Amino acid sequence: MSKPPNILFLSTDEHHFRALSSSGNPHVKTPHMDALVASGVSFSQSYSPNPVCGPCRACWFSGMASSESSVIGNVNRGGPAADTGKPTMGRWLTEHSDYRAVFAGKWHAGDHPFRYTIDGFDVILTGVNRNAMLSDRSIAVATEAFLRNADRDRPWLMVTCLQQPHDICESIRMESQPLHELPYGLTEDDLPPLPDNFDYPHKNSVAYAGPTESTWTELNWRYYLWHYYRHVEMCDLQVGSIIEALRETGQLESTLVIFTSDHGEGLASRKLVQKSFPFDESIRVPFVISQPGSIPAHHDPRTLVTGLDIFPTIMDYAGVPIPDHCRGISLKPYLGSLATNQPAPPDRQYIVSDVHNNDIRMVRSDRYKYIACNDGTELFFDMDADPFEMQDLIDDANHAARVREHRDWLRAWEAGLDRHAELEPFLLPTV
Amino acid sequence: MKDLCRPIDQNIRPLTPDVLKRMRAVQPVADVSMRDKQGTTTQSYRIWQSVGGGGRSDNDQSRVIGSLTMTRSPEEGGLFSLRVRQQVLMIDNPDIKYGGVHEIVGDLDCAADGCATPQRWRVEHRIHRHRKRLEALPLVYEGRFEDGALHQTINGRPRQTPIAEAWTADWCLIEAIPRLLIQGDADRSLIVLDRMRDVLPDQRLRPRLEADYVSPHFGPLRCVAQTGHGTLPTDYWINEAGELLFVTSVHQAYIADDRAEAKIQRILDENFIMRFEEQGATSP
Repeated sequence: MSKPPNILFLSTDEHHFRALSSSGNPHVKTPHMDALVASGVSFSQSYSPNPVCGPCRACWFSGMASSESSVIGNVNRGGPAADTGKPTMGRWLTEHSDYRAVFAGKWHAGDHPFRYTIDGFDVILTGVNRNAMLSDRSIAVATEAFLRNADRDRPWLMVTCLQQPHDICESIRMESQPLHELPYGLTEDDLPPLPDNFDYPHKNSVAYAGPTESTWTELNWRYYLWHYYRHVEMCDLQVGSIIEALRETGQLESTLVIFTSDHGEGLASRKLVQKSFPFDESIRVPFVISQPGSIPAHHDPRTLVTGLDIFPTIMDYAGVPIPDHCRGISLKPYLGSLATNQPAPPDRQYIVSDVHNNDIRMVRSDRYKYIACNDGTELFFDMDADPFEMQDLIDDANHAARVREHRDWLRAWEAGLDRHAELEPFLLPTV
Repeated sequence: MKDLCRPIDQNIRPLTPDVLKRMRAVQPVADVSMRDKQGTTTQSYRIWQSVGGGGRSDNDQSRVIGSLTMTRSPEEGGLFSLRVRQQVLMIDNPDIKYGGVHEIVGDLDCAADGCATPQRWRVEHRIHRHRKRLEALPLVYEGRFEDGALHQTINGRPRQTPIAEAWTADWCLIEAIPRLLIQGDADRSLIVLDRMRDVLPDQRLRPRLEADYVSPHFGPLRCVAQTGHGTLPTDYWINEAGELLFVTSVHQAYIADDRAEAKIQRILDENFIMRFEEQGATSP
């Protein structure tokens, strides 16, 4: 029996889905991430299961939805394994296989962001809280050191959770004053333009106002965008050193690389910064799966994927049974079919994400996005015709049947969850 | 709803030497005037970060997170040697007593030119966990600059990168920037070898005349900024004696401090995170 692949699960933090030069963004240069995108299957329609650090990571490493893991915010609940008794990705893998599971970087899966004891994982190095600029280099070095010295006879899962470009939060905090003149010799030509939906209002129940909205000038907003892309470029260097270590040690073809982010970044859409809202800027993320020689390079613009798919996909590639509590699906059958004449996309009509402290749900189907809030607010967007989500169709009679269909999907999803006993059920629309 | 981005104190940014002083991040700066600039000199920096703007609140985690010590010794043949030791503390964890440290030890031979261009180097990364070095994870970067190319090895695996423009390394900027400023050559572009490993193109140095000021604490200070691909705007603050006292970037600062390594050792020995109010600094 052949040795199963090594697996590198590599994540960034707060990575807008278009903050890659390979996406056609001229304001950022990410040659290393671009190479990763070009080497594997890049999913355009990839969504965070919950667009905040802790809840998303709890989804990744438990395989459960947020209302099951109970991790609905950046709070310390002890983590999904401690709180539910369900094994982490590392525990399940190592108990059902010969894999070694190793971890470096930011954990934050429902408990402290940085831990040296994680159920099922051997932690080699953590990070520095709120200083991605410095600690990402260390996390990348730790990963590189592991990859260059890894045991060739035993398969491994290396989880590396980089912290950039999350430090944009610190840039925002440090730029609270109105900006009327650009520093550092920058000119307006150096700055990215504001997004099309910059002035489009958000609804308070869906997203909170940008805290800087009242003091920032247009220059502040554009300078913030410029800053963000420098954070992304810093992260790109670390990704490059890690992938290069795989290549130089001859392990690239024998390693499945999964690359994604926990959530996106507002990037001035609706004058919003950061995350925790269900619009694409916050909830849509890069997602690439690569194994040169085994998975053909392919850009997939339509297939819906979610961070909940990572746990089952890793188990499937490792030859390990997928635990019943996983809410995502394995993408291995689809990735395998891409090498044939008959690619077989996953058979699912929608995905669901939890948002903001169990207050909001997002249902994404092939073309539409439905948003429901605990206070009864609903929104509905045609994502093909309106990618910036500026035409709310919830009251459009022409879409009434589709809205009903999405509500029904949400009800079915919620009914199928093993909701944590301490959590109130999500208030489904009564329409 | 909680405002996640609201700064705590509107009046303490961006970071400047006097802002750092007010935030009690600055110890009395070492007296550098007696140093033998022709002989061996050692300069240490405390790596410090501000979070939440530095005010006292639950959101504030301003503290020491590492140290950098650089010892410069003259050599013959137009070269000088630079011995570097950087430690980054990774002790944010509730579950064990110590945590981890990323230690980097580097030996560089640099040209005595304006950019302090590295000619040969060896950099060793040491990962310590629970006060023990992880011996199974050696990582060594070595290299030399020869015939217009970087000849590098990582754990013995070679690679070569042509480099046609003026260049230096991030550590060497600390040596180079005061030198370039004195030479009137600090307004320039160059390439930077990041952590002695990765080539960062399109780096721009620029004296920030608008930021120069006379500090009541540190005297006249001149500021040179670095911007470029993969670089957050970084300010280098140089005093009248040509000494680099501070490097500030967003919420992070390298602060000249002769006792930096001793403080890191104290943090590790006593296992506590040194916040700004715990550093025993003089009143702001």
